[in-house]
Amino acid sequence: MLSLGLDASAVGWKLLPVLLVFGAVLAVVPLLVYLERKVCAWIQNRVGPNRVGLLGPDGLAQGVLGFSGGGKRILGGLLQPLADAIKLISKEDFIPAQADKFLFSLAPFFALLPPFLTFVVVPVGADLTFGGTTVPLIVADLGVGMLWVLSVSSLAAYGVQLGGWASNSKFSLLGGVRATAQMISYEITMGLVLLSVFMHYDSLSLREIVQAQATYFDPLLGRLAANGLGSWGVWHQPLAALLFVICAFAENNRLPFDMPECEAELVGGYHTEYSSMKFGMFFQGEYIAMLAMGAVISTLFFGGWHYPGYASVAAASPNLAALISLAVLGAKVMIFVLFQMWVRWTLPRFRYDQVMELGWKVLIPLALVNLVVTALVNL
Amino acid sequence: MANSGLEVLGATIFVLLCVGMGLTLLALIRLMTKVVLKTEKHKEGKDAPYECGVPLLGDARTRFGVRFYLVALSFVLFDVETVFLIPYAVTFKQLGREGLYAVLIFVAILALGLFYELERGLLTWSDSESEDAPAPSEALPAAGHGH
Amino acid sequence: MVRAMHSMLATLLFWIVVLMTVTAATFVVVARNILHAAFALAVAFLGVAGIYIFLHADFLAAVQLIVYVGGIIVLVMFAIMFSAHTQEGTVEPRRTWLALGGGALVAGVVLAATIMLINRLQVPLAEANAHADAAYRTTASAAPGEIALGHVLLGEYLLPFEVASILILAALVGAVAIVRKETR
Repeated sequence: MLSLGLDASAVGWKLLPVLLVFGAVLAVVPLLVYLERKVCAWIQNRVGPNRVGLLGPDGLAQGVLGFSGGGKRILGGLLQPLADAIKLISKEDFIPAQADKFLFSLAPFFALLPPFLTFVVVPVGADLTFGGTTVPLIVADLGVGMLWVLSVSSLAAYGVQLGGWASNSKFSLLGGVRATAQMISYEITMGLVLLSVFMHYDSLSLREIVQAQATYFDPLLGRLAANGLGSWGVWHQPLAALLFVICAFAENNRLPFDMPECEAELVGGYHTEYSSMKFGMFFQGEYIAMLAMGAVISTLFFGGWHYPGYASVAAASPNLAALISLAVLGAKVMIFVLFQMWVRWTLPRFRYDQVMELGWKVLIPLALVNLVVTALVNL
Repeated sequence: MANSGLEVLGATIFVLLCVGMGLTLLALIRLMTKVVLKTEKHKEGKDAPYECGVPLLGDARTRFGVRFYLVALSFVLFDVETVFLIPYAVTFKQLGREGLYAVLIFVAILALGLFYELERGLLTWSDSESEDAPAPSEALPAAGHGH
Repeated sequence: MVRAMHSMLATLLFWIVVLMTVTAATFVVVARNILHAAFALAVAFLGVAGIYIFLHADFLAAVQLIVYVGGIIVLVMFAIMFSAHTQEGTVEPRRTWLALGGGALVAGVVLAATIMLINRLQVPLAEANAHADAAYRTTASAAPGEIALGHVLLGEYLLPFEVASILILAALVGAVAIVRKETR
């Protein structure tokens, strides 16, 4: 039997990273929804959401308090996600006839849960210190580390598979089956890529991988030197990084891999029949998955929370360095989220046979080669 | 790969938080529709699944191209391969050259399997490329514009 | 005091996981809808992964999730979806006394065999668990399980390891053969 064997203060401090990560993800998702609409509008030379805001003619202040704010729109559109949420929650929860009610209701839950759980093993910042107690900013530094990422992402297929099946709609079923086949195909590559990254660093723990990326062997000095950029995983495992990014798109069903829900063919794919907040849960799940993938990519290949000059800041004030590291990881994650948005609104989508061919004929062999080469080089 | 109890506790709390949030949301959705808004009404036309206004043709849960099943089957097999490689990845430095050769044989045999599958055209979706592809009508409903 | 509370918490969690597993497993047997049964099987497998964690077999738990929950059940669900006999109530609803009796007999035999097996263990299970717990508390960072597994798998059991790849290859060829027959 598992026994915990801990003291109360350690447990208390453990709640800090747990609540921090949970709260941060929840808080950032609405912002991402707003951001995606702004980015797509910007790319397509449109205005995007610019009405629902705090101040201004259509702002919250006027609507609730009657304060017009001088007629100027300031940060208009920022509250659009809130308006969306209110709209979604006040819609009828539609369940089609002959739908499998139980699985139909459970599917959005499985769309939301797996990406959220990915954050468990992602270190979000350097250690904080409070009066002698070190608080690592990670929900759980599990021994299985990267295997956790892999196990959790294998659960993601359930949301689309069950959702597509339970709806009793042809569009949903086609979308669900396609999505499942696509996700499992790219999961093999993802697993092999994670293995080669793991072999390179000789550690399954994402925390240790970040620490390994903080230093590099300087041939001029002849010793390990601190450097924030030169030791990034992407320089050591460039192919792995490329493959992982491609897989991240496919796992999240984002363009150019959005076969499962391509509007022109399948209306909405596996969530065609979903309405109200259940659709909202699928929607949220997608954005959380984008965040999760951004976090894993930046942790494995782009130094995680580490930044140049961390060592000198940490020498002066560890807590300040930790706070900066939180912001640094946030910035890196946002860059990858923006990258995903940029790609979505720039590239056309693949055909389904192209997706499967890319996955099986190109990515899996490449991942196998990468694994063998990694083994050879690091032996 | 030992975990201290603290890490397990952190993970447990996080998992419970997420599960709790998801289930609360689902409960909230039912509550809103059933109790607060009472917008739920049932009519034959309204409850029908969306099919672009065209009357439903049979059950939505029709039979599928068997290739999807083959993809799932291959996935399980390659998943098992990945799992077999994990213990090697943990120890590959200690195992040295001999371990590498052993794994090379292992990977080569499976690469052969992958090559065989691909050569048989069973992961190829477009008909023109596989010689014994099924007739277009029963080929793959999901391929849509993929032909 | 604090430690006692935590071990109580761990025990509580353990029983929740066990209850979840057994409930889901029961549901697999009694469910009328075969897809519900498959889903319940996934939940039962999740619970088993949880039990592995309680036994300090984290690697096994991850494998359980990756292969069984993420792979095999997805395959099972595909098989169910594609076989088109999945409407509510199409699973034979009648449960004859013969079937019930036979099932009970098999379950009883398996239970008896398991109990006998546990009793025959060289070290009693409770004692082994206590040892593992003690070892765990002292060595928080060591990773002996998987390293040992790697050495054994690529050393002593090298031949079975390679044979496993041939087995997978055979399964791949078999799958291709089945599908080709179907599509012809």
